[in-house]
Amino acid sequence: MGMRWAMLGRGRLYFWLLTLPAVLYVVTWRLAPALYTVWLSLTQYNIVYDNLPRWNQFANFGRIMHDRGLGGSLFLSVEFALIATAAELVIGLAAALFFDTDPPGRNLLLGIFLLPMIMVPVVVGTVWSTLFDRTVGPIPYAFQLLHGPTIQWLATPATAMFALLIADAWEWAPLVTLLLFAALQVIPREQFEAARVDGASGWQLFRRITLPQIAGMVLVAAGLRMMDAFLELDKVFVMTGGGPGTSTQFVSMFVYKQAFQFYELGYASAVIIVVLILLAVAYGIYLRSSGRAFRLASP
Amino acid sequence: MVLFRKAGYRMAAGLIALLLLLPVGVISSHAAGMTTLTFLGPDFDEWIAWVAVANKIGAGMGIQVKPEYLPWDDVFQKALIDSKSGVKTWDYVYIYNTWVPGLSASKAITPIDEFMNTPEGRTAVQPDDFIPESTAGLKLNGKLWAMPMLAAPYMMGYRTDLFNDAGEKQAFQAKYGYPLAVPQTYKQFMDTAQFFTRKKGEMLAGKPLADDFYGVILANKRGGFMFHRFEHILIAHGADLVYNPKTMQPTVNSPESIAAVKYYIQLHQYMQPGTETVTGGGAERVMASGRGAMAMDALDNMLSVLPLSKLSTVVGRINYALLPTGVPSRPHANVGDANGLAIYALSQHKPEAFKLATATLSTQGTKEVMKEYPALVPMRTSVVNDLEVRRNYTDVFAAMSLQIKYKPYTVFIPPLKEWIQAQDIYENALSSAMSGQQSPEDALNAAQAQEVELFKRAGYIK
Repeated sequence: MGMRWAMLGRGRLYFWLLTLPAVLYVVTWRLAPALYTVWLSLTQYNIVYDNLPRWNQFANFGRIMHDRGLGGSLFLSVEFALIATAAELVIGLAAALFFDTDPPGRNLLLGIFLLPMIMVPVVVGTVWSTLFDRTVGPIPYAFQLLHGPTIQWLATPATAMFALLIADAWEWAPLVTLLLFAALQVIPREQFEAARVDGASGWQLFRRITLPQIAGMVLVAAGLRMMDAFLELDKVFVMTGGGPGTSTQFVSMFVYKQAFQFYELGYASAVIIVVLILLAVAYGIYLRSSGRAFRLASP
Repeated sequence: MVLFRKAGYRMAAGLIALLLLLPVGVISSHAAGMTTLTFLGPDFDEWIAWVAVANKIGAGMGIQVKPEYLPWDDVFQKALIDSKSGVKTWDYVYIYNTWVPGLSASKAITPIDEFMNTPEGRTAVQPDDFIPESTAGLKLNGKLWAMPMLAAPYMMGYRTDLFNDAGEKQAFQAKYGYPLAVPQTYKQFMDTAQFFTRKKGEMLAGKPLADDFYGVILANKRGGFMFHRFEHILIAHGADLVYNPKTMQPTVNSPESIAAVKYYIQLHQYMQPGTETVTGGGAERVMASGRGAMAMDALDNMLSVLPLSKLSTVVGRINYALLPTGVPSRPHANVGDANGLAIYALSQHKPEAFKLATATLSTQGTKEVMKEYPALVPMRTSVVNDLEVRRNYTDVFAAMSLQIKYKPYTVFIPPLKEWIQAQDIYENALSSAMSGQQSPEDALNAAQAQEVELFKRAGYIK
């Protein structure tokens, strides 16, 4: 490190040769499709009926401004992302703290706990769809045995969203657990011992020692899950199809329908660009505030 | 000794190689004489059966069929994208009637009419033998775009044991004031569905029920299944299929359309729970488990499950009837479904593809496919009336005879390029009303506004 470009001399050739594959990959598989998407967003292009994309100025973006369906989908995605992330942070933290106590069979338990995270999301959706199925699902059956209310889990707006949240938390709380568990291992044990000697309670230990030192990782986990949950598609597609009505039609489902059911590639591309800009702004705010939080958390 | 052993080993190795290579050589020389046609289609039993028959019949013509199976809706996308990319791999493409406008507009398929310019071609197709009510969906602008293979008329399946039970008949007469019979009107359909919806422990045909029992079994999963079941009731109520084809004006919130939605919401009370999450196959499994009195579905969906002893507990207890009538001017109204075999526009073997398609989907060929897949609903009158079919496929014969005899009012999905979007808007509104999110009027008024915007954007209205 510290070598200047000018000092590389003939080494520049090796530099380009070695970085070329990565550059080609980024250009071919990341940059080119992104630029093509930008181009498509400025065209009218129905892949079934239009031979070629037709430049339509910014008509797609004008349509976005008036599309109440898209506005509703964005709101639902934000709502889902916030609630799912909050739930996963709480569950993940609780589980991480539990595993940090080094219970008997911890490694085995942790391995089992992490399994949902490595399952294919469509499989997760299928499993939970079956669990909630009113005719054959064990969850409604359990409610029936306990003389609970008859709930059409995936057929009413409120419970359909709730079902998706449960499935998402089941799948991704383990990821949060893994991240926070790793952060907990780094905290020096002597701090806890010293605090206990001074008479600190469990809650004080958590609030004054544990939480500040894992705050950074909590923010990382929250950021990761927020972005992922916002773009949720697989489970929605399998479990509810965006229904009932449009009560679970998140923005990814909206884009999917535009692109692959209506074949409106131009409009779908415009929506993707707008969502990308919104996410970039949100992510920028997140990075700034998390950077501040990291600095505050540092000794 | 060593030399001999060496030579001996060499001879043995040569002999083994010859024995190994000989079949390969035979196969190669055999394959060299065969034309291979590739078929792009869904992994459905009827198409697996067709491929098997095509290879049997094709063997004598020097043709073999190699299938490439994809999920159903991926077939359309694959055919479309490949044809636009100039891919010449395919010879046959499975086609569903709603795909005809899209694939024909993008020139992905060649109309069968192009092969019927000669008397031989026409004789091979025998177009006059097709049942018009079932094949009209594969026609567009006066041309036939695919060889009709599987009709899927929507019909009612009902439990004959329940409808013939003396106790049930007496109770129905007492409650509704008219005899229990196969519903002929949608009012009777609702009454019958209500009558047979019972809780676990209640009596049915003289026996206590081990599980809840439902009046009607339907598939209402979002993504087309829901609308596909509802649309028959929509047109039976005298409404348009989303829009008036003469004026191109959406009519989603017409009084007839609102009445149809209200009817469907009321009928929903008597459907199996979880109907919003099942597709056709899933719904038929519930019916096959003996938990429904009636089902409303595509005939082939019902036939592929209900009569099979390994899948069904109601074998021999199901009959099929035409859908009920709503407005008298549209007797037994239904929206037709048709499935066919199209010839890919960029196929390099079009004459061979046409020759094999007409052979396998001729009267005799269709009968061979039915042997492989007994639930096949044929689209040829000659097949339906064939003595062998009448004897061996009594359900198919009975059901299709009703179609031929009574000529139910049949419409097909309009060839509108925005149809999927228009249907999706309506389905959202229907789903919203069914789940209680909105009243039918509010949901359909909102849908009407969206449809008008869609039609304006498409340039159909100002």
